[in-house]
Amino acid sequence: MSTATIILRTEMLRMVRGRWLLPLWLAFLAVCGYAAWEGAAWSQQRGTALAAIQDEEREVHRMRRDQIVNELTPENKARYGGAIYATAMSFRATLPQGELPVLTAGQAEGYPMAAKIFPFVASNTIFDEYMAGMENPAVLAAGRFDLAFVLVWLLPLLVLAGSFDLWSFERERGMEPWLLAQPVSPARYLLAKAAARALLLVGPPVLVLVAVLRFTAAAGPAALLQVALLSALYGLFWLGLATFVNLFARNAAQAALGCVAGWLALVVLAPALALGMTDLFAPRASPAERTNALRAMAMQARAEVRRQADAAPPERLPAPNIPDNLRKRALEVERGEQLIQAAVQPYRAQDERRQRWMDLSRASSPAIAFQDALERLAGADAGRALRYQDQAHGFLLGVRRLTQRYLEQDRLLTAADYEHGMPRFVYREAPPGARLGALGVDAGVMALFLLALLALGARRLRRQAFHTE
Amino acid sequence: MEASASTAVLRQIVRQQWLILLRERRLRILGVLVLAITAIALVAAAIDARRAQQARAHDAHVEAEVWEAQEAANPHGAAHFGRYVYKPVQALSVLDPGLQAHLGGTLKLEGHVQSTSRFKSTDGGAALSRFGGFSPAFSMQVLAPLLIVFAAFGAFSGERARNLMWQEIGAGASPWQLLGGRFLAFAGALLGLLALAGVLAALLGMSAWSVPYFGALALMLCAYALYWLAVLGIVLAITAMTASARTALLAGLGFWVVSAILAPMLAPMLAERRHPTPTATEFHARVVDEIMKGPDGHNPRDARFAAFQQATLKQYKVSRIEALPINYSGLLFEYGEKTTADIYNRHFERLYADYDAQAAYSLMASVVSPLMALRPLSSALAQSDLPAHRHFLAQAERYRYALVQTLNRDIKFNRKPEMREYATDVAAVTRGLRFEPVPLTLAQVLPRTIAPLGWLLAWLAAAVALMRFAAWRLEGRA
Repeated sequence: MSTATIILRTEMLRMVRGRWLLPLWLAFLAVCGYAAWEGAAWSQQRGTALAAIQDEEREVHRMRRDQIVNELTPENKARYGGAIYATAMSFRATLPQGELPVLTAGQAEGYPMAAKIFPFVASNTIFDEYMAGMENPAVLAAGRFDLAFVLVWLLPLLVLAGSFDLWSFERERGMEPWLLAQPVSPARYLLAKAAARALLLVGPPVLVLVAVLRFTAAAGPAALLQVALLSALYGLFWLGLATFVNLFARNAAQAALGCVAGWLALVVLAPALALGMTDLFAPRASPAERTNALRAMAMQARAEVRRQADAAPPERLPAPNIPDNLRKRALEVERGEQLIQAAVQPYRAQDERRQRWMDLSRASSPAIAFQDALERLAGADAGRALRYQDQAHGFLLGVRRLTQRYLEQDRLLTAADYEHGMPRFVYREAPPGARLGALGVDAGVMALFLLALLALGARRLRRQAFHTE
Repeated sequence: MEASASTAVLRQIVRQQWLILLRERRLRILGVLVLAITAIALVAAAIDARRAQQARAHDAHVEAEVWEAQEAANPHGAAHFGRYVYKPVQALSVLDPGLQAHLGGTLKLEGHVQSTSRFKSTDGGAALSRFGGFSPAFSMQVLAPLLIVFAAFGAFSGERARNLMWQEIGAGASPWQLLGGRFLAFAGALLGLLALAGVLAALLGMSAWSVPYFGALALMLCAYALYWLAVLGIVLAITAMTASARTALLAGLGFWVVSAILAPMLAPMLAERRHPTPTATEFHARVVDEIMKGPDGHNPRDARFAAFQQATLKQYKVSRIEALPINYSGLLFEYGEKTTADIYNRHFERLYADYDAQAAYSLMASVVSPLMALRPLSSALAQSDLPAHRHFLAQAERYRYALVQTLNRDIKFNRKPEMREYATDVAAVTRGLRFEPVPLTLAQVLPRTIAPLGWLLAWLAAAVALMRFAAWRLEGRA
């Protein structure tokens, strides 16, 4: 049996015999279970809300179809085919939940989950109805106690609590000179001790996590494997930090202080600082200012179309199936869209710049990178939400083109249109390669931080500062 | 004689502990770090607040221009187009932004609909946003207790501190005097830090200086002092009861994790479970359902409108709508608006009752964490909490209702039957209506601070009792 194996086994034995390991595992299981339960409840509530929105679309279509079938006569066809036309094509575009919504609410509450689409609605207002939630702001401010919180914030504390005295324990008990007098290199000692902790402090929580997810979410093995690997990598980073701190700490209290300071710096301070820098150098475009600008554009479009209408001949006689005032409205909307797209550009550019800064900030702490990865796995990341918004906007333009065809042909909606011919919004996910690439970047950040710690630790060991102080 | 000797011993202990505090580099660095973080956060928050206030004033001006730009428009269309109003920034929210990031500072006012807020600063974030930024309140509520744990965990624990303690006891000092002395020394340092933060906050809020401002600030600082002293007492009791510095540190950190991280996160969630709030979809579905079917589900809208029509014809003593001296659709809009506003008000009252129940439930978590008492108290005084927002919403709703009904009344009185399309200068019609929100007065806020203040006092009393118990244990061993 090799020396490293003997140290590993002794260390594991010592840990198992200690009274703290089992309570730590049980505490993690309890918080994980509770977080998953909360996550499942949140996901179910959101699923119900999405289903209700889709039901609403079906109900409106059914109502309109029934009106056509039961109430339409040659005398009132202009009213039913025309007056209600603006709202007759009423659609809901919803963002379905991802594969592992139980994992985290992520950015889901900061972006719209649905859009209400009519052909003549201003494109900048389609998400308005689904932006404001009714959640208690105090709950939102406290943050969701989801699995991501447990993993990003509490898993490091668990790993640090079990490994902060990895070597300082020996130092404090006066065992260090004796151990270093043995024909085993300090690096081997440390690695074997760290490996024991990896097996008992990182392994079981990852298994607990996978088991909890298996039980609460209908995720495929690939998604579970990705969560497990990323969580293990994150856990190993914190173990690396504890080992690194132990190369410097003179006693266990100092090591504990160093570990907590590291946690505070990477989980609390670095993200807050990164957010502050982002706010400073890439502030969010003012939504209030944008709204005013776009409302001004809508007024400008209306004024332009009115001027054109004043110069145009009076309404046709006999009246067409679809009243001309709807054609006027369509022109106003089209012109409004042109003006809106031009006016919105600087704001969009500013928001895109901010998103890039936020993406870059992942590199400032493994905690941010891990949170990002978990949000992507949950399907609650900002990228997915923005992709959905683009697709919903595209769908609105498609509906407008369809309406234009009806207007050009002076064709009324029929019951058959509602039965077969209406378009449906279906969200298209990003290609798997792009998704895996983003997860790879997150994993790369965590791995880089871990490698940096290992490199600095190896440097400290090479300079023999470790056992001469 | 005995009392003066005891005071002299206490003074000696305080002086000695002061010297230890001043000599220890680790504590100096920690203190300066927390003060620097608080100061930076305060300055940044003050700059942000000034920028937000200027931006809101500018937005309000532009919004008014957009409203004017409608020129001749259909008043009902204008009611749907709506107006935006902006919430003024409160001076003390620089110190404690409370729930502001989740409340939003803008509100859209339109016909038929009531909303709660627009443009929250938490909207449109990324993974980074989940961690939250810095605020002076975060520094004073979360980081300062951590500083207290790090500063005081070795006051009696660890070999050196333990030996010193036994020597002091041997020299005639009682354990209670030792605990009290160290408590007073640490408290002096902490209150100094708090005073500095208070002075800086006051200087940054100079434009809002008034008696209520200083009253609220003083009360807020008193609450923070109670909170810090309670945490200090608990940490000192832990260290007096634990010989090992490592155990004392871990116990202190455990208390910090539970009281500053876990309880503030779990309590609102559990409160939401106990008193569930509907989702936005459910809420609006219930409102629409009541609008369509009536409050009891048996009074459909069509029937209500038919009854209203009959009553109107009777009131004006005519038999046909066309014979009415007023425009019937304007009257109907007016009636419909009143009905929907009543329904919305009722549902919002129910929602706010749920929020209140959740807040009361969360306050009960003060049993495990003094922060759960401090947070509502601090944000209430800063007027960055939900009740302050509701006060703004109530004023905005009164304005919205007046605005929409003014437009409806214009249709009622001015649209003639022969007009196929009706348009009027909506800006001129509504020019007499102004939205000038007034913040809550200190007298209105104070009742909400009584219960949290009681909890904080109870925590301080419990901390002192725990210190007394620790001293009693030490006396038994001496």
